[in-house]
Amino acid sequence: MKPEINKSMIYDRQLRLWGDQGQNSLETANICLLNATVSGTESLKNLILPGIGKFTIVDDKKVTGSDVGSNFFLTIDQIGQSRAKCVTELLKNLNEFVEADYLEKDPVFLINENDKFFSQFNVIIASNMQEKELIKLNKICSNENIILVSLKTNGLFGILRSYVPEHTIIDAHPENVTDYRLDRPFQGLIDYCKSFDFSEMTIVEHSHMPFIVILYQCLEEFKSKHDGKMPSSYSERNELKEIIKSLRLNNDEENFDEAEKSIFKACKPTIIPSQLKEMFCDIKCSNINENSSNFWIIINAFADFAERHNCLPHSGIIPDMKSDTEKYVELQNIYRKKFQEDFYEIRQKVNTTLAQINRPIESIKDEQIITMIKNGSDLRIIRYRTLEDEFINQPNVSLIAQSLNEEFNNMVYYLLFRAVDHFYETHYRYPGVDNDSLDNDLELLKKSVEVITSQYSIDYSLIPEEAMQEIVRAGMSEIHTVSSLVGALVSQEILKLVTCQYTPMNNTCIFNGIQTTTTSYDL
Amino acid sequence: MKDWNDRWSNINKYLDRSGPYTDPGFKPGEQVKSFLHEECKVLVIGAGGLGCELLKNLAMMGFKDIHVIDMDTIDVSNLNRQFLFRPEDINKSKAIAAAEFITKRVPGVKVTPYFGKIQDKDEEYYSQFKIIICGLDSVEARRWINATLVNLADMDYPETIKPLIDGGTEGFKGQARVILPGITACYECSLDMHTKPVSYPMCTIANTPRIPEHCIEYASVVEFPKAFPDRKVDTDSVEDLTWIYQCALNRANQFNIEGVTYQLTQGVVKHIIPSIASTNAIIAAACANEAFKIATNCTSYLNNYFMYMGDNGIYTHTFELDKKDNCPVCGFEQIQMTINPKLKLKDFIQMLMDKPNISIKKPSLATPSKALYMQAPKNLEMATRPNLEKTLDELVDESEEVVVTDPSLPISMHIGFTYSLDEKIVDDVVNA
Ligand SMILES: [Zn+2]
Repeated sequence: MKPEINKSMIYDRQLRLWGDQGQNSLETANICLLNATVSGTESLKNLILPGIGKFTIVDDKKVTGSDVGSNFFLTIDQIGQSRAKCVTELLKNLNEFVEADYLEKDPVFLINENDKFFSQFNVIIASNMQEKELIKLNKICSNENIILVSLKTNGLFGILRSYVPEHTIIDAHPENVTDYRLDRPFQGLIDYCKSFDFSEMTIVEHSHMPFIVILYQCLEEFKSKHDGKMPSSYSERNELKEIIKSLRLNNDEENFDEAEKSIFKACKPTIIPSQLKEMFCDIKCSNINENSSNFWIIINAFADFAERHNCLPHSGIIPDMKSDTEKYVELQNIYRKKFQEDFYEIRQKVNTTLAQINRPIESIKDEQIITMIKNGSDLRIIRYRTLEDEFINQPNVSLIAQSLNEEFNNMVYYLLFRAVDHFYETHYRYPGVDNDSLDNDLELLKKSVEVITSQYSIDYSLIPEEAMQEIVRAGMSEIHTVSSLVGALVSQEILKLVTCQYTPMNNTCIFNGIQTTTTSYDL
Repeated sequence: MKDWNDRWSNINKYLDRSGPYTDPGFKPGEQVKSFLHEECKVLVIGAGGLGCELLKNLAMMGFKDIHVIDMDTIDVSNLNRQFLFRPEDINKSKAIAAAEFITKRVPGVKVTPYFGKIQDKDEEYYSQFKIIICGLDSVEARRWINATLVNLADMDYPETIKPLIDGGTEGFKGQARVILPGITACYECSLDMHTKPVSYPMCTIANTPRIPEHCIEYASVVEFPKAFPDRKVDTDSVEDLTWIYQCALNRANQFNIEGVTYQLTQGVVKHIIPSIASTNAIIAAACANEAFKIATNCTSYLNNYFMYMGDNGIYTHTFELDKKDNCPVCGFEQIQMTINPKLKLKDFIQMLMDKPNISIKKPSLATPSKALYMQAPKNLEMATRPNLEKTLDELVDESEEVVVTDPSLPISMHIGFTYSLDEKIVDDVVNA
């Protein structure tokens, strides 16, 4: 008997990372791959397995013997057939829940002649495309609000570049979040912490009092001696430590160990993180209208909350700590109650806003607000630079120049990828492809490198001759391991961009398969 | 079969041409190609998330004689990343299914599966391979193969030094490393780098549960054995997990603890590590890339550790991990411990089991003159058991060396004592 299979069983190991919300986003992803190169194919593989909604491959090439030698999703009997069709067929077998399609067309043609084609997708993976077309594609993506990740490999080297008009991170999955609010305790917390008298406790009670209560009472004592101020220096924190120590009954009280260990975090003032302050000042936050996204409507409610309370809503989360069950649960409920009150305020504000812009209240679900409250201090937006800015309008010359001066830097290979593109634009072929013209290609590549370095007014001699030789040697080969690795980096970035969880790379990453290193640059 | 035209045109760019960063000993051309395709027999340990990727990568990189070992069968939860398996393969051997798939897909590549444990095989078996690549999720299996390969390596016979390439992943993070047994840092040298799985103190789960995990742990380690005294929890059985879940839920309700779910129960009881295709692909590709570079010498290879973190941007760190002189596997020096002579032998043994850089499950201890405590055979265990209650200074002179062994690992650890009454009797590590 075949065991019954459902999605949640297949996806169990990934749901533990991004949950149902992330999975739902993933299942709405409609992804287009331009050129079924090895790296492009591999990147799709790692997205089909976790269950995107649909993929479409655009490629006008016919399968060659070399393709079959390096692409696992092609077979020898397919030589001469459409590469888009063949790769699609084998990839689609990976997951029956994913829709598959292909188009036997040259992506360059579509970009130049039929840009409307792309508006059906929300992610485009552009494999092995030239700068000129990437710039055009980037414009399409910024108009249509599409995620664009381009990638290229050349032998043991690879590069990927992400672009999103505006990416919002709603769940960065930070480790160890602590928000005790001991510098500005709310009434429920004050009442609870004050209700205990350490001098009246049994030994067992004493050693099971949650450290938050200990810290609260010790801070009160500290503040009474310091004009109501919290400890702000090393010596003052030490003084607090002494107060805590004096309350101990013995050295085995783990709750007191926890209290001492938490001094630094507890004394850090509750603030509104700078990236949230920036968001509050953003025009998209202040100017809410019919076109505003749910994210900005909720941020607007956060700003409103922050104005009134000078802090973010509380997540309601506290870590596990030494305590008996009863007190831990009580304390947890106190923070949860605070969260519920804060949530209610945010929800009310969101509802008012929605009414003003004539949208139904259900258009923003409670879960979305809750997720954002729970991740309040880690919410972020990233506005990626366009490729036109990177290549033409505002190249990041200072970063490039500075990186080139570092030992073993990978910036060299960024410039070499650009030089290889320039080589192709000039000679309609790639350097090092043909065994007979290696020396000649090296000389021609040097000329292209000179053109690129002069664009940045960078000293040509900063590009080592060895690196250029290595690029000619690579001869635009698709080395399966490198293609697989770079493709997988692309998959991983797309997972983060589509789910709005974890923190994506911004905006370029180089992989060096000789040194086995990567470097990310904001270019 | 004969390779079709242009089959290897991609990798041949590197095998027909030398490069500026290539070892001067590298000779491009037919010899290196035929070594790669005809002679370089490799072993992949593990046919799971990393293993499937490794097999694909090695086959596409020109390795044609590949062996694979895995003792597991295919589970439905493997299908989100172990892309050589389909729903109809569930319950089949991973090694056999993966080998069949690759052999069928990639012409001329022979994958030989072994459905069983790595411990079933002896030194002679491991000696036949040029490179061994591990994609395992178990620390114990890695320690075993690492120690076996270090024991195999004889510095006077370079062919006995089998490069071990080891990959591991967890969620968005992973690492790949190259171990040259006896030459570079070995797996055991860096044992303390691995975080131990979370465990909860018994007194907490029994008396003061606070979080859902405490209730689940209590249900599985206290209540289950009470209800079913004659058997262990079968973590693959839905009935057992449902029983534990129900039991944990009752306990949680009794204590007003929220958050016990079936999914969490599975996670806690089975120690599930979240796992996705892309991370496995990144790490397996890094491992196979090093295998290709080591096999062909076409360019320098990793020395010796590559760490990847993808949850916050793309962050990687490539560095050389140092070999430890007092590594119990590849080192030659004693491990020095300052210890309270009044510590009882049983507490000392507990300490050895908990120390992150030692961490052995069933230690047997002896000095050159006598057995202190032996796990087996039974009569020796009985004879040495009374020693457990004795203090160290009753049993061992400060000048004596204590040798620690474990029946499940080919390791012997040499420990030298310095006695000091200032040392704590109960080590903090135990309760951390
Ligand atoms: Zn070692």
